Amino acid sequence: MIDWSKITDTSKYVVDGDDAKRVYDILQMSYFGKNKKLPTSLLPDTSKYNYKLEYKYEDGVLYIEERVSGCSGGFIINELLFFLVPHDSIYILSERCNDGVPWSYSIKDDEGKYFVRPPKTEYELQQEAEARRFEEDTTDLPF
Amino acid sequence: MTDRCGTIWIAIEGENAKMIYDIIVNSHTYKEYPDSLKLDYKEGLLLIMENWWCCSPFADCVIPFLLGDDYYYMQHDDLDDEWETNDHERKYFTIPTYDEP
Repeated sequence: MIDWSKITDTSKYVVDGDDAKRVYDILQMSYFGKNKKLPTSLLPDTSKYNYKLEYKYEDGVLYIEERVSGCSGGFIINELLFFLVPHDSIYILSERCNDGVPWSYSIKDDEGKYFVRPPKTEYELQQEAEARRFEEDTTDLPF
Repeated sequence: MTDRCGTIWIAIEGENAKMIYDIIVNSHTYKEYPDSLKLDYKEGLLLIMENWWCCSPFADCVIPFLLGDDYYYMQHDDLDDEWETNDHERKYFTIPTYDEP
């Protein structure tokens, strides 16, 4: 049984090109940009959940880091960015931790322009081994 | 997979109306899929209609992040035939009522 209160997702985003300044200005003008917190409709109980968002605009590139714990307010920046800018203008490295231990990673930066994916975690290696075992077992079925 | 779908109407007033209108018309999603949101902007008032399926990232996520709770909405969930609104004073929206058959 997974204890979701111990799960933390940290996603780092980079937006570059012509869209970076536009998105930065939108973040600054937003409710979050003015109040440095999410509205209650997105994060009803701040005592139970934790949400952290930081961003900076530097040399034409927008860097964003979103940290979500206890499955709170999840992946808001992901929804916002993909609404605002084309898919190929966004680079992402996401880390999922279980009780502080890196559990899995996902990346959307295949060329390693801004992010390099860390080595596979023990959990990911276990999942891969299980998938291989399942594939071997099912290929032996007589039908 | 879910068959949950519905329609949401949003009203945004004042300075926010122009700001959100500009954000939407310059967004990637609206440029690529102009039918995804129907907009009606008159000075000081922006009306938006979104037909959603499964979930509504725009109404559930984008608008609250940008505006907090500073907007009015009325939503219909087709699956349950349920209505919801935050416009309790009926400034823009009134949940329809049906006569008993």
